[in-house]
Amino acid sequence: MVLGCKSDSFSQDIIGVRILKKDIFFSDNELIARSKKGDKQAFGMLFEKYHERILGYLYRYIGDFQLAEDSTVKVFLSVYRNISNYTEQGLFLHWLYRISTNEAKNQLKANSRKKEVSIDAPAKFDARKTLADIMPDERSRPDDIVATKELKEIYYKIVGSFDKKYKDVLLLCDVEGLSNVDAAKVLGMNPLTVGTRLSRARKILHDIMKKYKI
Amino acid sequence: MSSFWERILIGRRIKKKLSDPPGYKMSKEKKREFYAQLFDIKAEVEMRAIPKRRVFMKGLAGVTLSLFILVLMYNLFRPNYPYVSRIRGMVKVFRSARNEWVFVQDDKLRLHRDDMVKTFGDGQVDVIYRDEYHLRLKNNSEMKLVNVPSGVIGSDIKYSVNRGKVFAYYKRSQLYKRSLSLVTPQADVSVIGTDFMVETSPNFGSTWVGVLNGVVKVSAFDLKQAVMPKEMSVLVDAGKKTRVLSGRAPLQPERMLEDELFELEELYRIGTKPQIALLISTGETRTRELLSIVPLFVAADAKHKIAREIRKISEQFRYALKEGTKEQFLFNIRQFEHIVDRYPSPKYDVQFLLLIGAYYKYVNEGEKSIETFKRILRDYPRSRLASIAQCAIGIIYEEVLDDPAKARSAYEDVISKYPLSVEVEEAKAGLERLGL
Repeated sequence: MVLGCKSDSFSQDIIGVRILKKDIFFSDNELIARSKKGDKQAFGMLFEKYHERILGYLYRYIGDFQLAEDSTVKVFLSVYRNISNYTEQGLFLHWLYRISTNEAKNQLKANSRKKEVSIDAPAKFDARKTLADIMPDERSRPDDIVATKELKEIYYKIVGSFDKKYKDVLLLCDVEGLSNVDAAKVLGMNPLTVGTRLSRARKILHDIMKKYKI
Repeated sequence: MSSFWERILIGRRIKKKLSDPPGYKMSKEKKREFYAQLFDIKAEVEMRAIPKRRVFMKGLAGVTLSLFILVLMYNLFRPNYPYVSRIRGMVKVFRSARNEWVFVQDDKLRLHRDDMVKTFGDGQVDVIYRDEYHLRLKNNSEMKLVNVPSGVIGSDIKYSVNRGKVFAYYKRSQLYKRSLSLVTPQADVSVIGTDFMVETSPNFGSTWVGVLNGVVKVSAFDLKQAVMPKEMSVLVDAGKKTRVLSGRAPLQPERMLEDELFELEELYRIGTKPQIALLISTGETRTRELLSIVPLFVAADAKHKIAREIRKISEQFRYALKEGTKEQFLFNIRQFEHIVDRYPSPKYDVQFLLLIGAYYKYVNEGEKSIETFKRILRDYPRSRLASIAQCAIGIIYEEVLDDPAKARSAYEDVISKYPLSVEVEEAKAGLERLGL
């Protein structure tokens, strides 16, 4: 890898990383160790490995794909700058989630989003639409909503409009599949608190789903 | 259904609905942006590396400066002890710390405060302190180090001479501005001028002080009151001596005898003095001293050709002074002139010409004497001894050639050309004698 080249060698770098990703298996710890020594290729492999999950998480958290992409770039650059501080206690992915959560909160704060969401308030993912617009029409039957993927998108949009204290736990535990304990570590709170919030968040989401019959 | 089971069911349902999220692909432009920024981080690291090197250099400079300051402070404030050197015969040193006398065999043995040095029989030892002073303790003498300053801090250097004879050579340091004092049971001898050389001989209840160069302050030391009253002090100029009796004021300084001057010649062999020197005082009567023939010192260890020839001519002059004829004198003077012409040396020529002029005057060759002195004024008008030559011309016109007009003119030239010289007083006296 030619360091310092920004133009022609750039695409080759990406290709090189992909080839390596396919052909050679490196553990996270090994890649992190190499990244700590300034190995950009190793960090590129980490980026390729995790960026889609982080992008999805941030998109669901922020509700804006463009912003989520920007935040993903920021998160990984921040990770590279501070990778020497990573102590290898816990999974690297959990550390990524922690940084991503903070970045997402900062993004939301910067955009001056509202903390509380009413049913008539503009949805976070699109300021021109209200939450009611997102919901499927009561007249339309569930059978009309054919694609599960589209349905899931609606769920995530509803979750994305939640207050951040419920959104955190729902996204980490139910979407990303973390345990309560791991989510507590990522969010820096008590696992029991995570459990309580998760239960409440599920209840709210369930009530919304019930109301709109989805 | 209880609320617990309800929560479990809701949880499972929600989890099922939210699990397996769809994947999202980052756009190629964003990836390009990410990698581009990643490379910029490399650049940032390099940019950071330069200040790190600068910080290192600054740190190194700081450490170097700190070390330099530490060394400087150490040199400024550390106590520099004098040491004994050039030991001859039996010499003992009293170690005050251990309260015992030890034989000195090694050169450069350091002396501490309250240490004593003692010589036995024909023993002799030098005490040296940097370039500031150089003491020579002669035979059967005893001296004690009373005070030694620490670096720039501290008072004057003080030695107590209990008995015997001490030669002292002192050069006042421009940095420390300290004074050297030699205290005897009868007197305190301290330098107030630049270079000075003094001999103290505190035998038989008296202290004898002879000064070869510079100015020395001699004060009577009252043992009962342990003070040095101001009215009991005299200043001794070069070429003069005084004596202090126990409990009395020092005698008025008077000129040293020739034998005493020759004895003090030893002082030229310690310290850093010239190898050839006209033994002349710095007082206002030095022109008269010159014209009455003063001795010329030639160091015994001076090995160059001029010194050898001068030593030979000096012996001839000494013989001529005792028993020789005018022809012998004139022959010696011509030989002397020949040396000046053959080996021109700005360092010594003025002194040699002064002596030649004095010898011509001694044999009543007034014209030649004046011619020689005028040569000094012509060739070395900026010499610090030129005023002597000008004054000598006046004296010779007045006393040898009996030409009051030219004598008056010469004296007036002394006052006008050399107003700060000590010859001004002699010139004024000459003008008074001539009726002006």
